[in-house]
Amino acid sequence: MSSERDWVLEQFADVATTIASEYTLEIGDPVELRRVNRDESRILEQAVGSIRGELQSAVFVGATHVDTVREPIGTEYDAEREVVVGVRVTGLTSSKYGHIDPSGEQGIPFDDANGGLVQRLKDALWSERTWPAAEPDESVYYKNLELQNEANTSQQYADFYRADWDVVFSGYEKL
Amino acid sequence: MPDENPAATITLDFSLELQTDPLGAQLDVSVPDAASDSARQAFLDSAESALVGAQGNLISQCVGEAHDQLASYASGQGGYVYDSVEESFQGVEVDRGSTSLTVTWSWDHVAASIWEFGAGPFTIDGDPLLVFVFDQGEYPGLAEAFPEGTAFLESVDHPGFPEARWVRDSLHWLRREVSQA
Repeated sequence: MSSERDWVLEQFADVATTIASEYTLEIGDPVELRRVNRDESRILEQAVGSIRGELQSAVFVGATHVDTVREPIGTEYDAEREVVVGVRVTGLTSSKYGHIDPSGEQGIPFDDANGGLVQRLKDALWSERTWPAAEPDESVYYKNLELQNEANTSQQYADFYRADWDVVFSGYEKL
Repeated sequence: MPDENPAATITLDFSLELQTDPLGAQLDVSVPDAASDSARQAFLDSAESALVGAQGNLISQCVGEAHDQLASYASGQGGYVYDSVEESFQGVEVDRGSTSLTVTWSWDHVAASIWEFGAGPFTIDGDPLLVFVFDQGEYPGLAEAFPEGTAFLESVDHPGFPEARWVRDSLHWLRREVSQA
């Protein structure tokens, strides 16, 4: 159970809707973004080459709970709380029947600074960076979130795209 | 961030970025607004000392955190030999500019990044054969085919690696330390 991970995936729902209405594949179908709970599905932990078939049906974005850190504050019954959620995005180029196309004509650009998939996903999180409502219950509240450890490893592959980053929630917890 | 001192409010900007080729990190420290250049240099001096200068400094502790997590990952995976990854550490480079301080460190072993982000199942093909010397007691199935204790195989299926996150988690550790300093 990680409410923070689930909250991250919820923020991506609107991105899925928007890109489906804005981008189409060569065959005319809308570009699809599929959201994955990486703590239950192993699909994004596979080598990209072995999920080529899945990547021909959609672009995948997944989230996993990485860490929860509590640091007591003074002698009160409170703790600083930090939760890290790992995000991974993976897609396949449209020339291999995937949903990524840098030109935007037969798929969505992956890491274009203007309207690319990675930017849209990050923007969906940035827009909630103050007081993100990701707390598991009322003993916790978050002041803000940050995106850290950004890694675009697409250059390792000829046909695939991959980017990772961490979402860091910072706030307080009543013990 | 440090508490504001009303007598002299100075902001230190920290920017810590993961690097992927080779795997490592870059930390930039700058003092955007200082009352005088000598004040700025004094703050950069103290940041440099805490980060890389003093005994038990923060960057060496951060690298130690990474190596600790690498070691526990390797033993959790059934005893991977990780010394060569740890030994591929390229050291800490410090570039002191007039208004900023840049610190970089990295590991250039190819497995450093593969373990960091994980890899799915894959097959290793021999060229033309893979040769393994093994303990017959530990691998009785293999000993049936190769009673001499040396196996000759065309290929081996590897189950893959889960992501170790050994460098990324060490950077989170460093961020927490810096924000409390």
